Amino acid sequence: MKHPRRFFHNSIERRAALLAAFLTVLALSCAGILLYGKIHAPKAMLARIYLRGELLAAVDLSAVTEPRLMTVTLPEGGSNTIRIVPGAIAVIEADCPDRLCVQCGYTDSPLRPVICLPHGLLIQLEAETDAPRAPDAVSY
Amino acid sequence: MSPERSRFPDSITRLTSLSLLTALSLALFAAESVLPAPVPLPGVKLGLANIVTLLALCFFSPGEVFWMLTVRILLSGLFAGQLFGLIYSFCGGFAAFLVMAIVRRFLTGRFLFLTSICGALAHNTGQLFAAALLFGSFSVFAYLPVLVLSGCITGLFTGLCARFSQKYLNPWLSRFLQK
Repeated sequence: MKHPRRFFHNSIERRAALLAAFLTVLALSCAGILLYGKIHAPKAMLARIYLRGELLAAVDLSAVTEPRLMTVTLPEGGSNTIRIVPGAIAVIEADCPDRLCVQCGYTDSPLRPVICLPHGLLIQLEAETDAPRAPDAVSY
Repeated sequence: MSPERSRFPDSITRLTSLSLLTALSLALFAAESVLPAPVPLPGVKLGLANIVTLLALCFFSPGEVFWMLTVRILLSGLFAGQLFGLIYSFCGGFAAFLVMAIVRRFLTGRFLFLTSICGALAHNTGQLFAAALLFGSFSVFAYLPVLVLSGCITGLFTGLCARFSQKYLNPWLSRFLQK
């Protein structure tokens, strides 16, 4: 009678293989959950445009279907032209001295606001999500 | 290396070796807190101090490792100066210790990295439990997949570190310690 082929030579290797298989399945399922969450995440994104601390407009970037322009004009002259595209927003033209706001480019993240300091313009994004906010904590 | 015995009573060599390992893990802990985080996610860290816990489990009884771990966590809490950090460390550290002590009974030798991964997963889960207690809600467990993935990677790393250092420590420590 033929012996069944032995893949693992002893019980320790068998246990290790079992444990490794279990851990692989666990890790893969977690990766799957994370990927799934990434794909199906609610992408609602609210852009708030402030001029000198005053809220001028709030645009839901996820509801934007085609690009449009918006011009912010200062009472004493000077203007910024804002371009809104689906999911992102940028200042594309400005007559401020440094034009850093234009160089910021398009932003799609609450972590990257667009700011025009000379004109006092601020575009701040806010993600609309009901997921719990991760604690900003340090643990040892 | 000649298998000569140390001149000191066994209890003293064990105490000294454990103290040295505690100091080593504290040094690793301090070094790690200075290093920039590999991934900018809260709770994701290498866990270098766990290398020492793993090593200690290879050479000492679980009871001895338990006290070593307790001292290490208390002292590292003092260094970090955070009471809440201490709660996290206790939950994570003892969960990891428990799981690793159990897994070590079934796996030895070159499969140390599997023990380490299990420990890292237990550590992260224990810390999430601590977070759930502190925040008063179990919604923090939505973070579990991230921590399981990171635990697998960091556990593999610390496990391999422990395995490689064990090879070099083995002749030294087994010379002093009666098994």
